[in-house]
Amino acid sequence: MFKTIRSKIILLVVGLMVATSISFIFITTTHYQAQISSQQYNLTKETLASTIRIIDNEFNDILSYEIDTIKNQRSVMKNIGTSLLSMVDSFHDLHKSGILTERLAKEKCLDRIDTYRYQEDHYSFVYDLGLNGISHPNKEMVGKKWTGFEDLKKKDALKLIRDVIKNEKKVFTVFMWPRLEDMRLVKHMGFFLYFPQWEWIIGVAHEMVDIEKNSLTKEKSALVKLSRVISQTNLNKIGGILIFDDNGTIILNTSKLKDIDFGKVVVSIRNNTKTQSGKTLNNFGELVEYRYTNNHQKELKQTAYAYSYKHVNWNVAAFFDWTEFKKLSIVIATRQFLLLFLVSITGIAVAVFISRKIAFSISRLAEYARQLPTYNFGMDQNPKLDYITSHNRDEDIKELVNAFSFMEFQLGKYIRELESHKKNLEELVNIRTNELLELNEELVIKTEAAEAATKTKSEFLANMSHEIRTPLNALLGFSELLSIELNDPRQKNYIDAMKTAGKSLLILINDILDLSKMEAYKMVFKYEPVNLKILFTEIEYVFKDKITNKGIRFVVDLAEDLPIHLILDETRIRQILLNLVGNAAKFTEKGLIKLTAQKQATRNLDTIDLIIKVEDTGLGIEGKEVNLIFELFKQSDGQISKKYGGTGLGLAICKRLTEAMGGQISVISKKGVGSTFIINLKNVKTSSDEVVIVEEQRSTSENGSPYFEKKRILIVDDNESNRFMLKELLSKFNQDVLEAYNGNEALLMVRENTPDIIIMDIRMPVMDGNQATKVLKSDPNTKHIPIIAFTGDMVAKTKTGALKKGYDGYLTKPVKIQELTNELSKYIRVATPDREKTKQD
Amino acid sequence: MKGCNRISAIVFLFIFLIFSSVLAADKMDLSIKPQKNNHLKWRIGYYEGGEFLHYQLNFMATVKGLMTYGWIEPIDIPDQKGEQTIELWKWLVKNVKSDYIEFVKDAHYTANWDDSLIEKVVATIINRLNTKKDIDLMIAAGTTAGRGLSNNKHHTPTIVISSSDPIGAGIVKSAENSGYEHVLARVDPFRYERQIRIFHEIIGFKKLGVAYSDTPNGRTYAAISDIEKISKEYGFEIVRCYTQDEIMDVKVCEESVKNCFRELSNKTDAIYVTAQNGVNPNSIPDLVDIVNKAQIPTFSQSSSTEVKAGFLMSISQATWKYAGDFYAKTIAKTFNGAKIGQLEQVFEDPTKMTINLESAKKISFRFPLDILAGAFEIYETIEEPENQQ
Repeated sequence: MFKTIRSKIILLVVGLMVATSISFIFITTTHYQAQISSQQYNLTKETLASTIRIIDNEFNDILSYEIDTIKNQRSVMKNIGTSLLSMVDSFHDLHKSGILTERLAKEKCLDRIDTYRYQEDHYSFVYDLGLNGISHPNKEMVGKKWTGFEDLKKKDALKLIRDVIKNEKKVFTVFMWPRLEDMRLVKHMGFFLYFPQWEWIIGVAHEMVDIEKNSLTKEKSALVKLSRVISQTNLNKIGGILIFDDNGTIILNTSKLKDIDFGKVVVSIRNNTKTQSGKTLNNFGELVEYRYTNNHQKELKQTAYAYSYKHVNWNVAAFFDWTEFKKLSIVIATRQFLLLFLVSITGIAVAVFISRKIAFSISRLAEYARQLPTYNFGMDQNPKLDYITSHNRDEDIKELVNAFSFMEFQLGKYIRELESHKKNLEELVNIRTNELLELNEELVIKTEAAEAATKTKSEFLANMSHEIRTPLNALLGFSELLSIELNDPRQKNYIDAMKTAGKSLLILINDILDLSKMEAYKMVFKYEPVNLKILFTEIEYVFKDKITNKGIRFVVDLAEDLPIHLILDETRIRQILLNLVGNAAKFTEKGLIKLTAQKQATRNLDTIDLIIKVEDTGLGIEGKEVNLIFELFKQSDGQISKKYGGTGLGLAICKRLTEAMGGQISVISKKGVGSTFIINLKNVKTSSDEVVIVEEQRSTSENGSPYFEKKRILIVDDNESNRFMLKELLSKFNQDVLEAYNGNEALLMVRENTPDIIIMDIRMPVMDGNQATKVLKSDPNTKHIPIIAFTGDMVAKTKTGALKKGYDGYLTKPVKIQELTNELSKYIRVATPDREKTKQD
Repeated sequence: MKGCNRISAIVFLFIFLIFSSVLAADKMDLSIKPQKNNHLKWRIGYYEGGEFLHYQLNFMATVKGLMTYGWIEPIDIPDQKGEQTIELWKWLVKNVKSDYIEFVKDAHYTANWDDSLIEKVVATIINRLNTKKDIDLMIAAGTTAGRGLSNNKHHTPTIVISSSDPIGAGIVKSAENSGYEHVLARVDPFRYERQIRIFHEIIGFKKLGVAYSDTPNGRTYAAISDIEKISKEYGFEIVRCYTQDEIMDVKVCEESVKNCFRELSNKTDAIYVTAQNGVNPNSIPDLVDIVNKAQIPTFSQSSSTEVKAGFLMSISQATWKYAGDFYAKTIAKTFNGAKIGQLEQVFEDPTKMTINLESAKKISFRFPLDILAGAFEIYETIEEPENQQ
């Protein structure tokens, strides 16, 4: 699900729409109410303020109208009165001038006044200070006492006028005066002037009813206009404007709400209005919130802004009903929601359409890619790509198609090149294959020849080793025996010479064999814990006599931080040291020979780099010969004269052995001063194993030989000399000896005379030692008998190899007495001579 | 017997008529024609508690009244500066031509509203009246002066002018009887009641603001007792604010009135502007501005001059003229032999409405058409106040 681009696009758009909608609804819901409520409050306030402004304007219009009307009327009346007064004065002048008598002047004047009309039904009248009517259009009024015409204070207006007119000369008043047409007392505004000469009070009156009527009309007109204007406000849908007087009488109501008793609304507003003085602080009115029950006994909450025009006894309230407001809010919210929904649907539809187009192109491209392998990669564009671009005009898709097209073109080009190469290669391969086959045949032949040669060589070496060692073994063995037997010093010297010659030959043979093994990479190293101190002591011991005789000092210096035991091939180290120390002993006449061992650097806790030095104060080596000294058969020049002898193999062997053990050997030498040979072995492991020094418990017999408990030892060797030599030696060791000359005979001997130990030669006719050992070890009756291998074959066999074949021990030819005793001591307890004698007894 | 009875009846009737005529002639029918004082001029003196415009205006109106009735030759009195009367007195002394009256040159006394001086000045006047006897009539201007001279420490006829409530101030006993044969004070006992009634009838206020000095004089000037009486009758609340009055520094008085007006504008729906030092031509424009901005209708206790300057309405216009006329007649009657203490004290101002249309528009007040039509004086604009007579 939602693994395709199309589905992801749709999901994204839907998600965005949903998130936007939810956010919008959430925001509008949480803030909408507060905002729209606030807006409603503001709308209501503004509506009230607008209404107040309109009312102010209309009121000012009415006020101005009334004032102007009254002013104009007063002005007219003043003018009329002044004109009349002037006229009266004229007539008075006529009297004064003698033209008319006073009576006549008055009469004529009054006639004039009687007929004077300044407006239809508007006339003037005259009375005197005695309140007697002098002139009036209605003759019945003339001559009567004009009293009882009350003013607004119910006081006699004309009397009051009379009282003040003499001082004031002109007075306005409002009083009840008979209307001319029916003499009914109606309210008039009057203007009075005084003519002191005749003590006349001249009056001009105007009915108030017209003015009042016009004023009322104006007021109604203002209300109508007000109603028309404020009826258009949006507030009327959920509330409205109420104008009412202090008695609660509604003057104007613009609300369109139904089921509301507006009289109750008015009462509620009045009861909740805090401002008692009839004033509000500003045109926004006072906020009033109240509850009341409507016609359906439902309690409603309303909010109003109220303003009071106390001077005109008007109260204006702009109110709205919360129930209606909420309905409106819901309508607006629903509208917005629907709009949002439409927008969302449109967005999703567009997303689906666009994603479909994209998905179509992508699927076509995928199809094209799948079919690409089957395409023939012609030079023209793939028609499938043409189809895609023709159905999609998006630049991105076109770019993608172009990329695919380019890829197709390049692929075609490379494929064609590859095919061409392939053809060439096939030909080349065939040629090479044939050559290789020929070569291979040659190699096979050569390999077979080499293997044959190697085998021959190995067999030769094995045979040579065996053939040379066997007589040597006898030679050296008997020399040893003779040495022990003989007491004559001179004979001892002869034997010593023979031993020395024999040892030299043995060394030479060993060296040659070692070289052969190293060259054939058949040298096998046996690593075991080696105590260098013991080894060095042993080396010193070997050359002690020679060194002492020369007066040379031999120094052994082992570093204090050198581990006691190191994992080395003791035999090979010994061999190297014997060579080097032997050379030092040979080429040093005086001074010292120093044998040192130290560690250079500790790589880790388990390994060290071992440095062994052999220093001498001998002849030294010529500078140019230093590098040649380690080559085969190379000797120092001085040695060529054969003064010191040697075969030239020793250092070469040392070098090969050192390098075979992963080290290096070098020399620092100065002619006439001395030489220092340095062996550097890397990563020599340290060992915590203790090399058990097999203490030579030299329990020697009376003739100095080790004294073992008597055992029966079977010697198996086809060489009589060897058998004899061993027999002699073993006899010295107080042993009973049996002999057999081949493996087969050995088996017979073992059955008849179960020996305690068997010393088995390996190379024998009829049955070799390996076969015989195998048989013996497989027989439960004989497998317990220790079998020591006795061989001069150093090429094919090692001790480890011998042990693997079932042998329990290992002796090499020519055998050394020490080695023989060491080996025997493993299986035979060393006995004291007394003890042994006791035992024999 | 019949004849005796008849004669007795006639005699009784005659006596009755005489007495009646005497009675009838008690207060109203005495002559006001100019008479000399045994061939000499009547000497008039003047005492005021301190400078006050109303004193000046009332006094000038009195002088004009005397001119009207022939006691002084008519002459134009120049416009006066400030509220003083000393300069007016000096001018009168120097310029007035009269066979009957003399304004005694050194008989102008004022206590300058200094409480510490009042007693001393009164004592000086009384001593002079008793010892020197060179003054025939004292004009006591104002309640303070009236209180000072309304006693039996002297017997010189004294007319108390421009006292708003002499009865309440204890200057006279009642409207009918001053309590002293030599003292008279004009009383118009219902004057302020009339004002408050008309104000209430027109405006219909529920809270009436009154700024006044909370002193015996101050309460008298403001007619507080009348207001309280009417307030109970009509059911409105009186909101009081106390001002500084009758002190040397007029500015302080003015500021105190302004502060009160500001305060009252926020608390009331109408203000009754009472007479005090702080309400004068200098302060009226600011006071009018305060009340008009707050759309507070105002009623001037004093005069239409203040309506012209911007207060909404009043019912007295040129009070001084009528009062001056009354005072002049009273003086004339006294100089004609009447005992001043027996003369009529009551003199009511005629009810004459004065309105200011500009103020009405500013406070959105719609005068009833009747008031508009019957107003005695309509001021269409607010004018800079000036000393009017």
